[in-house]
Amino acid sequence: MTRLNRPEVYGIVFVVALVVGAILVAGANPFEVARAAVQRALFTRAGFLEALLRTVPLTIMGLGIALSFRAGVFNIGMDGQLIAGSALAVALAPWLPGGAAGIALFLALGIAGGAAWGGIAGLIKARLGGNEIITTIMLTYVATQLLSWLVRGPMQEKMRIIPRSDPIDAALRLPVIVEGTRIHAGFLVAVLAVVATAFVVRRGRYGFKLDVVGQNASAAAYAGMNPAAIAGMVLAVSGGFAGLAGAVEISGVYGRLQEGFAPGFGISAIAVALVVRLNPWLVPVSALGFSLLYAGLGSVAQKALVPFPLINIIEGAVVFLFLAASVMPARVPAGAKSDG
Amino acid sequence: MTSDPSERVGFVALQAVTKRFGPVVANRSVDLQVGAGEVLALVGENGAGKSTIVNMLSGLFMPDEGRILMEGQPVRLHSPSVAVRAGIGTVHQHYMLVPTLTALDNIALQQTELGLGRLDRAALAARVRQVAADLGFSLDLDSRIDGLDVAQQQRIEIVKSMMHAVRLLILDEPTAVLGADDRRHLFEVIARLKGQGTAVILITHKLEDVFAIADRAVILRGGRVVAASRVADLTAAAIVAHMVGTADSGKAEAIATGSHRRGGAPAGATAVCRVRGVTLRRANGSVAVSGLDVDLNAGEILALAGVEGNGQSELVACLAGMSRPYGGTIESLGERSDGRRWGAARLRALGLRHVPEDRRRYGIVGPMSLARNYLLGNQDRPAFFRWGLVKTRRLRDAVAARLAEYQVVAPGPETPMQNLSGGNQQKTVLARELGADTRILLAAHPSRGLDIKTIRFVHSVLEEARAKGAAILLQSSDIDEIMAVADRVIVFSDGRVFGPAACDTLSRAQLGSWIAGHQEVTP
Repeated sequence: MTRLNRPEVYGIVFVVALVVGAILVAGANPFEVARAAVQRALFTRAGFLEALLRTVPLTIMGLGIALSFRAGVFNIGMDGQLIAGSALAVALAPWLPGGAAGIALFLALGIAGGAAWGGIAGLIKARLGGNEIITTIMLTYVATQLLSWLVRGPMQEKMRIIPRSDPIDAALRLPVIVEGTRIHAGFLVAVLAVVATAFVVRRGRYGFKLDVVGQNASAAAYAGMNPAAIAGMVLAVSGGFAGLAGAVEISGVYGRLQEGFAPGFGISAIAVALVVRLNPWLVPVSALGFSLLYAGLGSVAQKALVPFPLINIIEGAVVFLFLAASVMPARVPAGAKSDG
Repeated sequence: MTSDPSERVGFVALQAVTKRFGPVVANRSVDLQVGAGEVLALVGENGAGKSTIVNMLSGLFMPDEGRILMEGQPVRLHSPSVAVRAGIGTVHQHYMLVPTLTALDNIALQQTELGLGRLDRAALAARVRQVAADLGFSLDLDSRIDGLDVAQQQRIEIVKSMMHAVRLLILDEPTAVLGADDRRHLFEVIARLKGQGTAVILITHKLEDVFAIADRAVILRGGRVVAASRVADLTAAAIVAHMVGTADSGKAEAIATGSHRRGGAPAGATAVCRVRGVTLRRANGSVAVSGLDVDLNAGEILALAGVEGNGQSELVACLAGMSRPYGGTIESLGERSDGRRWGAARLRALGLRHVPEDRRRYGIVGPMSLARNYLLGNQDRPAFFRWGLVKTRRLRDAVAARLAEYQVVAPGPETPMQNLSGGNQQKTVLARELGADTRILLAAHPSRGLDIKTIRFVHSVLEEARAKGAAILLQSSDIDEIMAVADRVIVFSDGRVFGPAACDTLSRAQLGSWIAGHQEVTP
């Protein structure tokens, strides 16, 4: 039996009340806001396609989060790793060949850049025991400032008007796979990443090592693994996922390097992965769900139904609700057992 | 505050107290009492049930049967704070101090736990100094714990436990880590407390302690009181005899399989592991063993005995490749402990297996399935992997077969490890660690906490591995077990090393004496 006096339930009720209250204070009708968001995300073609487009990077990054969190390593700095991967790929793009090989190399450069940026935090963790939460957040600030400088300095477009790079060669762009939309081949990259990650997690030696390190580091050492090295390495691996997501976004959507092209994706990816409890097969589902939410709320913001900061509050509240809800089923068996 | 004999009897008493942990009976119908101004020594081997008595008196466990009396009245010590309020102070063997805080703050920590609320440091410091002065200590209250040696830490623990009106002070193995001078100081303090009318229970395995300070001794074996007597009426030999029991005790009979060969390492034995001039340090930095030389031969069981904390665990950790010795070298399966490749992964690849002392911490991953737990330590062996992916079906079949062979009671290989009982978890670990390619087996307390039937099974498994030529190091503190299965034994005791000696030329009493660090007799 579900008991309704659990803390998660209180939390959910409290948050819903807060958000509804905030919307009312802002002078809007909460039902109208909800209707507009759902309408846009689910019942307009543009809204749904926009959500699908965003699902691709969120899925790839959610997989990277799942890997590192499984090892008990909290990579909070995917935003920085994404920037590092994108910047490296765009910087070296002029020397790449065209065609499929070129695109593959472009994405590989993205992975390499992200892995290197995550690897810095990994090295600090493995060698010096530095806390990855601090280092990855700090490295994100560094990456953000570096990007800001790059697109105003050495990598700025030839016209030198807007802080952005010149577009990459059209031969390096991921082709559109659904005619009349912006849905690009990055979609297939994401599908591939899901399958590969799921296999590694469920059946792979590497996935096994990550799980052991995450669940019992002493046992990992006993079994002859090096928990510190594995924890450090997984930061590079998940950084590689972030870099891949960045390269896919640039090659598939933007075509050039610019500021703020993946705002807060690294943090959203954490929610994406946590809601499905780090299960790679379900990461795309969760990523689509969050993308629909962002698409819907984006339209609410555009229509100025409520002040813009309130949108962020609603986003945060929804993430919270999902996380609380995902905790609940896990606790039911324990509760039921204790009931007798 | 009196030494009148009539009041000294039975200030605190246990009556017919029994405590079980699952199938294991830790204390069986224990009667004991301690009077005001009396020092009672509680003596016994590891696992004799001393700590359980301490934990019941300090409010950590409640007895399953029987009762605890204070001044003749039954009391329910259902939490540590109740025990403290009742006037029972405990100094645990492993100090409960926060290393990064000062001595004063550590004492303050306990005060706020008891609801003092706001902290008046100056007043507390004055009270601490008063208590310390009564005990004859001079303490530096502002130095951090991690800058103090163990004897100073112990004094802080004693002061901490004496901050309340303590009428019974329990000292759990207080001399285990002390040098001679510090030990003498401690005994002066105990004598002073005794003079103030405080009852003292002294848990110890050292016979010198008993004769130096105790008035009476209660000797435990297998959870029972086997002797209780005035120390003046006891001899060292009598205590050892009570502690180790005799070979015809029920337990020894139950675990002796009777069919195994014995007689030390066979002639022309090949040493697979050579320990040369090894120095081992405890976690707190003190030297546990130095200059250790011993060989581990193929086809023998070498028992590593002694009271815990004398370097046995450190030696096993070194042999397992989880650490390197502080001094000297170990050469095992062709690898040297000062070599670059020394490590658990390399040694495992060469045929080392390890049944760890702390199963839950090292040996298993609780939430994982039995099948995945079987991969632990086998993660680099090609048998279960293809292209970095687990051969799921092959693994499941192999695990199912091993579980059946070892009579593990479990629904199947997909069951989470944490759903199994301790005995079945241990069997699963043994099934994993013992295979055809096992060349060295480090078995640390492999039968601890198991029931008799499972213990017998574990011993048969060890003997089988020996018959196949494996070299087995059996870390054990159970004399019955050592005498039943081991070929040779080596004892660590307070920095000294006794043996290795062949078990069939060694008497139980001699082994018991070595463990107690009491007398040095060459076999």
